[in-house]
Amino acid sequence: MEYAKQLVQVLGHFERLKAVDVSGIEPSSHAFDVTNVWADDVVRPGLTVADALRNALSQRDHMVVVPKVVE
Amino acid sequence: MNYEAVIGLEVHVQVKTRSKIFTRVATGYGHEPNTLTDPVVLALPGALPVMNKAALDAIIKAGLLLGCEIAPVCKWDRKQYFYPDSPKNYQISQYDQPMCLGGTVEIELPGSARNIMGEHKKIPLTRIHLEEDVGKLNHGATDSLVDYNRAGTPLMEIVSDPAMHTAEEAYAYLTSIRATMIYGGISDCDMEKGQLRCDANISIRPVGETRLGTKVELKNLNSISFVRDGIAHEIERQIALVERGGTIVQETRDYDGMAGTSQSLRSKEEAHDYRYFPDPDLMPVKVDAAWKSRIQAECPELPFVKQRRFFEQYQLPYSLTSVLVWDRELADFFEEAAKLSGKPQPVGNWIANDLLRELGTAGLGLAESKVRPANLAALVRMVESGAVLGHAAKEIFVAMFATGGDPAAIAEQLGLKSAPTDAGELEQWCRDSIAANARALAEFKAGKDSAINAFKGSVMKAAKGKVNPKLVDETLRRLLAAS
Amino acid sequence: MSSDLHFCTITDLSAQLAAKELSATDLMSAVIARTRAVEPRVHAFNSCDEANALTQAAASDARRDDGQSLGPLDGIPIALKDVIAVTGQPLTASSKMLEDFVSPYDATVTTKLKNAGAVLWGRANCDEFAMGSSTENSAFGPTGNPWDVTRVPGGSSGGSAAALAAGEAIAALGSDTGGSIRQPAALCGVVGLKPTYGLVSRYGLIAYASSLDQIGPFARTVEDAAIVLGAIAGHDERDSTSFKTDIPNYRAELATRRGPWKLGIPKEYFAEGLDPEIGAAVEKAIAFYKSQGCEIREVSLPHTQYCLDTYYIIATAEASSNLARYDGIRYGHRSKNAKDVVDLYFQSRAEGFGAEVKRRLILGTYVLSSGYYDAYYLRAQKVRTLIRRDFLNAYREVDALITPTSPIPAFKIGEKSDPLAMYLCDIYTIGVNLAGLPAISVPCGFTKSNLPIGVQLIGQPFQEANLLAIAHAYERAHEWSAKTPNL
Repeated sequence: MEYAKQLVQVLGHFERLKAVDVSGIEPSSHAFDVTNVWADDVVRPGLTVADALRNALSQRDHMVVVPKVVE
Repeated sequence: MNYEAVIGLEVHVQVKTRSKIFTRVATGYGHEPNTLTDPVVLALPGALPVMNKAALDAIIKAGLLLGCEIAPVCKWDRKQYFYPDSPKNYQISQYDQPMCLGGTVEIELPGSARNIMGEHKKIPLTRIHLEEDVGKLNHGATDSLVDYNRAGTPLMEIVSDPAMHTAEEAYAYLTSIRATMIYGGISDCDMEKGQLRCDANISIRPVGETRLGTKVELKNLNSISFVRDGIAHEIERQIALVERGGTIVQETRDYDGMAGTSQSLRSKEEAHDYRYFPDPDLMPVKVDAAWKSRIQAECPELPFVKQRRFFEQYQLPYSLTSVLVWDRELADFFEEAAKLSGKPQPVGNWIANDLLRELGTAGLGLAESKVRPANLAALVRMVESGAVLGHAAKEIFVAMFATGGDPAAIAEQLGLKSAPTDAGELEQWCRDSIAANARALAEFKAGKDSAINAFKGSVMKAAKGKVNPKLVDETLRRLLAAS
Repeated sequence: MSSDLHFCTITDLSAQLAAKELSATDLMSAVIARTRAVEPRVHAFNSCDEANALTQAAASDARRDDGQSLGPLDGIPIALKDVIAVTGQPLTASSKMLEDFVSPYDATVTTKLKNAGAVLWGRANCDEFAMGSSTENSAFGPTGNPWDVTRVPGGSSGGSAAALAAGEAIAALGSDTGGSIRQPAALCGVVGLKPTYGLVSRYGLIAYASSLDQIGPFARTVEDAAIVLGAIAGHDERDSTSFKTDIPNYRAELATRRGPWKLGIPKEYFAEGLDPEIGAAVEKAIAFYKSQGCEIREVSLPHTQYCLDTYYIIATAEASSNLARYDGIRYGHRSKNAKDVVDLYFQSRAEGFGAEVKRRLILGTYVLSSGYYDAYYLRAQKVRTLIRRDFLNAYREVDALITPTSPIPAFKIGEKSDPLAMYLCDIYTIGVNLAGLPAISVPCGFTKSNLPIGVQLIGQPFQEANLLAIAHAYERAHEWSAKTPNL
């Protein structure tokens, strides 16, 4: 309950932003405006299967096991 | 009451790039599980995405080919949901600023007969955006196994307006998109490999009604004929349901193409909140005029445009163009041979009939064909000039298909060349023939033109078939007129 | 400066190594001995691989013997915050979620430090997934401040700062999302630099808030910080937010940039809540610059009061998405009690994440929810634009800003249980992250209870050379960094 109260308190604090006049202001998704950052379509080696699955706790046939998924 | 169906399609096309959309490990199909991964694909802690330029070029090309407006700026958004095939548990996609807006897909509906052109329509598109493909789940008896090889393959989602009304239209739409993507070198669109996937949104309404009915999403339409059958089945199901007094519920249904039935997967009541927000790891994409015009220059002429040009430029019949224009290499092959021979129609016939039949029988692709535009054109010219006769030409063609090479040399080698050069010998055969057929001569003189065939037969026999029939005809008529 | 090897600077040690008065192996052995001695009280590290470090040191010595030394960092033991990937080494983010995770790849900064010959030593403790201001949110227990081990070292990079202050490393890397390098540097009495967003690659840094995170150095001196920054800065094609800019020789630039500079005092940073002893120490630092001929000007950053909320909305939103990948499937803690796949997510995450991480994930999920997105997240992004604009406006008048780093000195472990009170520790540092600026915390005194105080200098984008030179001018005239804690 303490936890929920704290969450409500923080969300209440967030309400302060409603006081700011943001009309006509562009949102910033990044720290600076740069566009068109990309790489050429050149293949680089990836991980070996062993490295790819090294941290998977449950695996079989070189695949990661999950509980049965029914869509 | 009469009902009308309203159909919108969401088509996913895997873009043919060497590396994945946000990292440079290779893409591929049919590899050993989890051999095409890296920290980015597996969403290891700390891994970051970097855009693949070729995937961006590809979607711009697709947009230009389909007449879309290319957004001057687009960004990347995270579509968030938990699923074991999605390593990050969000998919990088484009939400409110897709790369391509609007555009149309031209389709042709079946004509009244195979050799008659059907009605053409333009199906409007809503948008095309780029996103990343997910991994593959292999379902076992008690658990599921995840292979991440496919995860991160660039995927284009082409969304149509709800503007189609029959399963035939949807089928023609998908066929046209596939041809466009293959033509543009954007994707191989092999549905068996999952390179082209299709979901359909289907609703019905009374004819004359303008509002949309409740839509049902049909999934797993994983072959082009399943798309047609599945949609037809769903339209029938909805109409039957409504006519029985039932109500359509908004749901997702799974189509089983083998059984020809569908079953409900889930109702759309609890619509998912994907909590889309701009991906802070990726910068926006700005497309300027120079980039667009560079891609425009790589855009091929699309099949329907090519078909109209073939009508105009070569006076080809529909039956030939409809064979030639759907395969870009075949159309190019035709055009080259037509240019070299100056005889488009016979070239078209040779390709549509003989070449495709031989390739089909041999199980070969056009690229492997030993008949090339140059030797085909040479063969056509030989036939036109009378240097070889029809049936001999067929034999030459078969030899050319088997071994390649120049048709004149093959004709020489096989002794198939017609020999019209010795005019004296031909004239003698003709005189002999006329002299030996008094009855036919009389008939001819009496005005029965077909009587000339009796002389031709014996001349051809004497010449062992190696004379040009046109020359025989001329010579006979000259001699008959004089006799 | 202390004669103990473990308290020496990179500058001193690299000179001794170059002169072959010292071997990297001896240096590493000294640091290992010191670590063994103090680590039970400090707990700066989640793990340290002594054998591996000695192997690296031996390789450094072999290079030097061959005349193939890789420069001033060759053979220098550097601790890495446990959010930076090193091939074959644990990478835990101080979370139960990644308790057994071993990285199969190197972060770009790791590769760069390896290429500079540094001995990678110790995975430094931190707040879980870098979320916190005290290092108390570590699944593996808190770190003690070397100046008073009953107090926190600050956070989230508290282990890096404490390791350096305690002589368990010669330099360290941390990450700074809202002050996580500068605040612990201030609380531990060391130099901490948060570079301009985009100067140092984030590839291989466990993401907390992608648009705010930045890796930076902890060092004993500004000059040492310049050396480490020079090694790790630079464009990286694996990080799309990495900026293409020329990297100057920061160390050499220290000597050429002599001022005087125009320094701005943002009046909003000296308001209520600032500890008077800290206020006084920072005023003295300002007076020093004035005495050196610098022009001091009061400036205003009018949206400062909104930084905290803007920061917590953006950071928690990004975190809620960045941490979705920790699901117990491909790696990480996997619950043994799951009934099905949905339950596997739920249980693994419930068991794997600590309270503060969960709190931020809940907040972040909330502010991105449909219906709340515009009111919280989108609005915060717009306020962020205004906050950045404030700083850029100020930079029309001044070269850098000078402020306290932290409103309070090191507090007692367990003292702050209220999250909002904890969030207020970042009040002077978060604006810098929202604006993407470089900033450095430099020791500027001690409280009466002998706790370090830091002064923060905030620079213009990608003007680290200037920022370091301004900090260096202060440091040269003061002896604060020569003081070492009694442990």
